[in-house]
Amino acid sequence: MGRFASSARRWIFPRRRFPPTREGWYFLIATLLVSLAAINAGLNLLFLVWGMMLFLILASGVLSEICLRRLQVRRSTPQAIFADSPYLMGISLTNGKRRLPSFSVEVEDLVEGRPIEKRCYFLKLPAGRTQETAYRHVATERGHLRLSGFRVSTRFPFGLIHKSKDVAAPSELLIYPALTGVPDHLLRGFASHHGRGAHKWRSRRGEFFGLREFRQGDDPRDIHWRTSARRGSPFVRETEDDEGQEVRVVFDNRWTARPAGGSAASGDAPPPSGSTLRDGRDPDFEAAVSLAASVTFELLHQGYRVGLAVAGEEITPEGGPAQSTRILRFLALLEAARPEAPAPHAGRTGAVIRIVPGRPAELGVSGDASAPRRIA
Amino acid sequence: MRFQLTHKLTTYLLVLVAIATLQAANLLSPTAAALALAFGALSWFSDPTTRLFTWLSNATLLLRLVAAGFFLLSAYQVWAHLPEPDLTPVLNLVLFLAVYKLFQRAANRDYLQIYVLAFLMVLAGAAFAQSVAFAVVFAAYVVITTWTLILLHLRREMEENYLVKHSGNAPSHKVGVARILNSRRVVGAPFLAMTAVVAIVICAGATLTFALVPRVGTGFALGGARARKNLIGFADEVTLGTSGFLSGEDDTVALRAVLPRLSRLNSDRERDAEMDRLYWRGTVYETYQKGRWLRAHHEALRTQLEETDGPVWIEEPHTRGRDEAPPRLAQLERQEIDIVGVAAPVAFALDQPLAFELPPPKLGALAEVRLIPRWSGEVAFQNTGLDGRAGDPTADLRVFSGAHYVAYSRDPFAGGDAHRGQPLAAIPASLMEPYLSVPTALEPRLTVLARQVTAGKPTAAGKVVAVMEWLDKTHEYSTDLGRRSGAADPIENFLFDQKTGHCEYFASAAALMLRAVGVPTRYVNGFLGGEWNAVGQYVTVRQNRAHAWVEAYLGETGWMRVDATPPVRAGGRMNRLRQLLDSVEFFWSRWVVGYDLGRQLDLARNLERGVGARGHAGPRPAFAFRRLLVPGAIVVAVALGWWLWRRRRPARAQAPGGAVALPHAVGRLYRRALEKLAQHGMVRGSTETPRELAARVRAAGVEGAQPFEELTELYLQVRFGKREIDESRLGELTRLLNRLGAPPPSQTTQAA
Repeated sequence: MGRFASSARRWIFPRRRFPPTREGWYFLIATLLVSLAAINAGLNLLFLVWGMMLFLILASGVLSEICLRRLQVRRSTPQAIFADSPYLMGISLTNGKRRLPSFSVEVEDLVEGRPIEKRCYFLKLPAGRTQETAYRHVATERGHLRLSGFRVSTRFPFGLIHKSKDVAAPSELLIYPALTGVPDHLLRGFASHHGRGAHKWRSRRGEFFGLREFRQGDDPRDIHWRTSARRGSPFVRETEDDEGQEVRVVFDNRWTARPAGGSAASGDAPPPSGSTLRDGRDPDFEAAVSLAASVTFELLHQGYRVGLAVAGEEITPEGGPAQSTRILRFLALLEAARPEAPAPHAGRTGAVIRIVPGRPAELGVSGDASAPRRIA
Repeated sequence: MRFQLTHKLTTYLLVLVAIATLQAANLLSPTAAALALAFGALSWFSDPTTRLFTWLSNATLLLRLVAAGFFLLSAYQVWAHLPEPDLTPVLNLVLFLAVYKLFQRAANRDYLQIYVLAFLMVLAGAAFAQSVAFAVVFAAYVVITTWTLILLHLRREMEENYLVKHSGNAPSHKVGVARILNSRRVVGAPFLAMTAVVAIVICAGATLTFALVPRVGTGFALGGARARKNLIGFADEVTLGTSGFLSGEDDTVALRAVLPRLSRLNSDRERDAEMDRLYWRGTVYETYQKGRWLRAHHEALRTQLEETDGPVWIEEPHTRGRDEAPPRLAQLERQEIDIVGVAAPVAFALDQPLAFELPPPKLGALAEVRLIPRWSGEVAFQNTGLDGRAGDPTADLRVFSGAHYVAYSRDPFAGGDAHRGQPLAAIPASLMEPYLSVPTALEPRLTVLARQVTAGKPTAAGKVVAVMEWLDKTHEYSTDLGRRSGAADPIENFLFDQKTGHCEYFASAAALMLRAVGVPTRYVNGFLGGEWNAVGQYVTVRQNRAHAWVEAYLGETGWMRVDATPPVRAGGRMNRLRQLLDSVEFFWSRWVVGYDLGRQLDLARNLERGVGARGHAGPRPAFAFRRLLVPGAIVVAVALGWWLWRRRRPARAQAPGGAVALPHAVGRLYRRALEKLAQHGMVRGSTETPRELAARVRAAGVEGAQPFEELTELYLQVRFGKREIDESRLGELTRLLNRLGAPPPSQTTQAA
């Protein structure tokens, strides 16, 4: 009974916004003037005109409400979203009504309840049909982008009222760091392709190696369906190929925010306890994160096996798109560490690209963790 | 139908209907209408892609100068007619601008301006229309406006919003709007039909607003549009040869009257005979002067009004018979009169009117209508403040079209020997002097003639008959007024030279001849006869029935009507169609144009009586309940049946996530669960199995995850395993799934 009552109440009094448009205000003023003229002059036929105007407004409200009823909105998010790069967010709108089409519907994504000012427009959505469109947006910061829902609105039928409703559809997007140009000196000395080496490494190319369980980040195209069906959970096919050169990106994220008028680097005065360094979005720190992501992305794309080390954490070197996803996701959420945190581990052998916020990146060979030797 | 063509067509229809409202209100001259239609038709070919449009665009400066010139001319014409502005130049300007914009249709703004101009035309039509034709064009206007506004909105949205999804590397750009505008898929016959239904609802709403909003205006006391006609013949003076001639061809309705006596007659023949005896007394004149009849403005001749709780009684005390018993309303003929096409504030009524009943003042009105006495038994209406002070006399002429009142009259030829007057000798000569005066220039010849005609007739009545017979024998009825320009006096010319004329001449001649032989007379203007409307059961009196006659004072018999005009006018009967149309006009005039608070109260009382809500001293009539019960029960039964049919109808739509809807309870519950999850952003993927979805829901930690997992297993078993279900467990699951999908304490992460 309670559910019925709440359903009925929601059906009769749905939550809507319906501010008049500019033309709507003009129309309302004209309606008022006609009403005054009719009442004052006692001209009966003006009452007819006034009634027509009043019921046009009423019809506008009713028809716009019918338009917005039983609409379902879904997102199609892109696989990877980089900060400062445009991405296309797919929006599909389904008209759940049996007979009536919906006209002139606009859909906007909501971020924390506020629209992002990118509208998807649907001119006519027949009953029972779905249409898709997309909007182009640029995320300016890496990290989580929390979409709270959609705002579905229409000005149909007369453009007098802009009626809208908010639909809750929480979703969280992960924005990867912006990709920037990689300085040439960092890539000098790296072969553009991996050569024949003494060891094999897991790769998407090469000979069949074996089957393992599916992990997040694996390419769905590698799923071995027969095994997965038999086992009841997804398994991927592994292949092996010649081992490429290993590169370790060492990102020293022990960082304090730049004080006013000064510079900051790791090892300076610690921040006040409890402060969140990342909230300050220090430009040097962000630039360093972007550089780390760009270097990682470029080297993985060239076939290298890339690992990442930050203060207190590391990702072991591997190759392939799954590794790219792992590292980019990690960097998207990376926060500055306290200066007293342990230094990132550069590894025992292999090339090292050392990135410290506020300083030029360095290329070295690992052997001595304290002072990498420059080779270029 | 192509969207663009549909929009263009509805725009032109809208302008056409707007012009039709002006025509229905008689605000448009035939020339203006013809020009507007001709140029409007030409503008159809002026589209942005055509040569005509290009040529006109090149001549924009010239066209704007023409428009500015037209505007200045109209402004001057309005200013020249102040303080009584003539709206015709303004309407012509609006019409010109509308046609001008039709040639310049390019952007949405141009269309919107056309619609505003059309609306102004409709407003003007509404302010001045009286004919029922306005109702028809107004209904058409509502329908076409609904279409047009929707199409304008869609067009505007198309031009502002339309985008196409492109690949990630290419910029988005607006799709060619021209392609969409030429599409046939946006609007079609079903769309127009549906919006026409909406328009009909709007019409009904407008009618409801019209009926329900109380008429408590501070404006005119009598509602209705202003009359534009000012029929000559009912003013303070009458010039012979103008009234009758001008109204001869005019068949517009002057007034309508409900006469219960006529309604009771059974045969049309009896009714036609009665029609010829309906003399609608209007204005009375005492003084003749070189072709004009004037009012004497003699205070002793002033009509006296006696206000009672009921009607207002009128009388002429100087000639009232002393022995006459006061009449009772039941003895008098009751007429319910609606003035339609007469602007003069004349209280028309059947000869001889004795009493009038006026509608009470509107609630909240600052003025009311009262009867004011004129002379010689004539009364008129006047707008007065509620404190009794007279209003602006020039305002009177604007007020009275649409007046509705009740009059009571006595047939002067009925009543036998009733002494309604005094002997002539008992009345002071000075009082009757205006009724006996003959122009000096006419007197010699006229007296000789009159004595000759009435020789041997000692009584006043005999003299009257003699004069009538003589005029009938020696003179001919004609509406041709070709008078010699050198004629000294039109009556002299009529009597001695031309010997042809219409009712004004016959009446004037009779009046003057009788005065010459000592019979007091006065000249009366009014209407004669009418047309019976069997549909509405009332009499229609048209302008072409304007008539003039004489009243002669016959001593103790009192004032008697003397119609000296030969009976040449054949009684006309309307055919059935015309009766129907006229009754529609009557209804329109009374219940729309003349709709006021009194009628609203009457309507409410009628509704109350019909429903049987109040007003009965005894037990409530059972038939009233039955009247409502049966239709109400039918409505409820139909609504219930429809609701049940919708609920039991098997679901055919695809549920979100691809689950095929089953008529089985488990299937329906599973589909509802999927819908709930979708509302919270958890949509089942196209390759996701029900169990994987359940696992995802469990991993997300949303509320209701565990019952959902159980439901999933149940669903799979029922769908694929044909297992029987436990209804009680299903009910329990339904309850547990109420909050399925509600966000967990932490946000869910959308995998990018």
